[in-house]
Amino acid sequence: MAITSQSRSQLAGAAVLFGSLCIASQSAGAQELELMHFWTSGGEAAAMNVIKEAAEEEGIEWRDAAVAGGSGMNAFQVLQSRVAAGNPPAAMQMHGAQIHQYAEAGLLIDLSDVATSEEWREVIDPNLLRYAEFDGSWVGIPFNIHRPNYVWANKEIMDRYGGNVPDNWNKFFELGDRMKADGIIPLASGGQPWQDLLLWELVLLGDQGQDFHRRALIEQDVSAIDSQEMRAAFETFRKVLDYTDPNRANRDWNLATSMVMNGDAAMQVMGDWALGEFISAGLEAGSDYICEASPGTDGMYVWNADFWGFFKGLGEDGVEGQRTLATLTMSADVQEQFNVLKGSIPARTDIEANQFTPCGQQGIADRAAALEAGTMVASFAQNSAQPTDVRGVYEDVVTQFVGNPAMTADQAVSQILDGLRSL
Amino acid sequence: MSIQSNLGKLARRYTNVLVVAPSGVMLLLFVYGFVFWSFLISLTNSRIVPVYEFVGLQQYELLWSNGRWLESIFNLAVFLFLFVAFATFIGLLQAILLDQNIRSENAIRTVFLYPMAISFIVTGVAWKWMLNPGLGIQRLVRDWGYESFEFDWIVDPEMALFTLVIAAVWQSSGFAMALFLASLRSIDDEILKAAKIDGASTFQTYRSIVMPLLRPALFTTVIILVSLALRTFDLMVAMTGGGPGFSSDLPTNFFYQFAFGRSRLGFAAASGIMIFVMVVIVMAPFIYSELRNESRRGGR
Repeated sequence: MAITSQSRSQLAGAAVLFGSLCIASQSAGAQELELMHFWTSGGEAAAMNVIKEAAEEEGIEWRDAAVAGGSGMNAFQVLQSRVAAGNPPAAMQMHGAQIHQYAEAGLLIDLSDVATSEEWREVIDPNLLRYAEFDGSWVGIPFNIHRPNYVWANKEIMDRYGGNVPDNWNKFFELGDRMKADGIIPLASGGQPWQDLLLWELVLLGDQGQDFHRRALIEQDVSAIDSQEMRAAFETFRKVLDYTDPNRANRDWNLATSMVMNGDAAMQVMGDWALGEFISAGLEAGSDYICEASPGTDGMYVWNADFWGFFKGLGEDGVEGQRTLATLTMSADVQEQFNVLKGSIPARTDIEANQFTPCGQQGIADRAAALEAGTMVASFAQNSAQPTDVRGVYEDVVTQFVGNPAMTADQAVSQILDGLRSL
Repeated sequence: MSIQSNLGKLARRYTNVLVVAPSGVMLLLFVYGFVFWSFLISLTNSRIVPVYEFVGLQQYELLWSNGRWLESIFNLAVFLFLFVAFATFIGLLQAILLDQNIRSENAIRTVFLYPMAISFIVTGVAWKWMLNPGLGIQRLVRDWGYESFEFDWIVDPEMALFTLVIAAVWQSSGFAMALFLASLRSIDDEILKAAKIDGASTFQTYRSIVMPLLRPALFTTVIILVSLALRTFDLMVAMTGGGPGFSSDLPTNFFYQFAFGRSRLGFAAASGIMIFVMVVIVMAPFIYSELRNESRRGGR
């Protein structure tokens, strides 16, 4: 068999990724696609497997190039070096902001004609269009929508304190004071930069409202960043940190979740990916744990989404395979099965909710209401509002703010402004 | 006949060059070539992929006004000094003690050397748990009944960096010990006997005879430990993640995050080049003085 230049470059890619790949032999007629992602934990891998099986039924040979760890950063490291070497995979799983960065560099294929013939525009959550499309071409295929603004509470502990999850931060402080007096940690959290940034964003949103969130974080309006509201948000955030335990440094988010499960802590502010932890621990929503919108964000649906970005550079067969996979990923069946396992909700708005857990069903209903009310909020911390470099400025300042109790809100604001100027 | 024998002569004359050539070429390409490539990228405003539009030294100016970078450089300086000093000293002490003809020396040597065989990630995770006040040593001692015992360095911004030193010294001092021990064993017994006959005390013998003879081993140890320290990345990522805040952040992590998490390749390349320059600055005087000493001592 003659070695085509394409399979040769795939072999080179395999050599780069020798640890995480197994090279499947090329069977005749199959469209072989190499797919990169960082969904390696139990629930995530099971969800990805739904797409894999559907793809294999369509005759696509799925070469898995998962790279675990670093909240995806390790995978992006491999992706970036492969793109620089002119040997990208067929597709990579990424967040909205990254879709745009790769599309801007001209690296993603345009799927506009598939979008038109499959009538995606009719069924997709309209917020996702902002990232699915770039400059008139369709570049991102969404898997799901995640909701970061949840509070996960231990039902038994909450019952001792009246049973209600606080719906604003002042009530949280009152409740937290009573819990602290009884020796209960009110808020489980992990002191890792991305977790701190997420908590900070949700405190800001709950404390200062959606309008301020939009001006400061989504529009990067300098008069909103350099404002009393921003300083107040930092001060509230500082106060929230008082209700966490001192051992939070570098704690993984799922360990914080298990503190809530075990009753070591009362609540955790974390996205709906935490649902998978509760499900795999065999706990029941409503009787063991409570899921609610994080304080002050009731009725708001903060969202982030994962997309496929399909890379240029494959032969005709490969592009055909990419288009098939895109169609599959957006199909109603795959969207439903995938998201039931992933803990997120479908990117399509026309999927019945009855297969989902109570929290998932609530999420689907909340999104419908939020779409109606205009209270969908793109998540800044989860790469759905700004490019990674802008987000990075905030992440560094928030990390510093957490690490240094003497740092004031004023200093934080001026560091953000300095950081943004240096981009 | 003549061609073959000439070839043979040539081959014999240049054998040494021919043997070294492949690794020399690879070194040139994969080390210095890529250092140069990184330098080129550091002069551009590249984001996700290299773009060759040059902007001069702008990235370096931004780098040296970045608070997080300065903090990581300071951390590295502290870590480097403490790690190399403690690992060398403890390794030397272990080697001297092991050299006293003690029983079951082999077993003890293996015990001390073994941490070296573990990857830094494993060391980092193990120490992360042990040092976590809620799970590890502090909890254990408190459960024994000493309620006021405190050992919470890893979550204390003032002390977190020192926990990295502890773990790194634990892992690497056995290696220093092995180097020193090998060197101690190569010292001629006759010299030590002569010193004894001349009435030198053990301390005097070590100070005036053994230590000077250990100089080459010390040189090797320090070079290897310094390069280990400068490359420290996995240990820090696994153990503290650079925190709390940036109190234990190191330049390698800075580089990694900006290159791959923040899409600022040009900026990250500038920090990479600065790490390279630091290696040269730290190592050059040391290597220079050693080489000069060697030639003065009448080496080849």
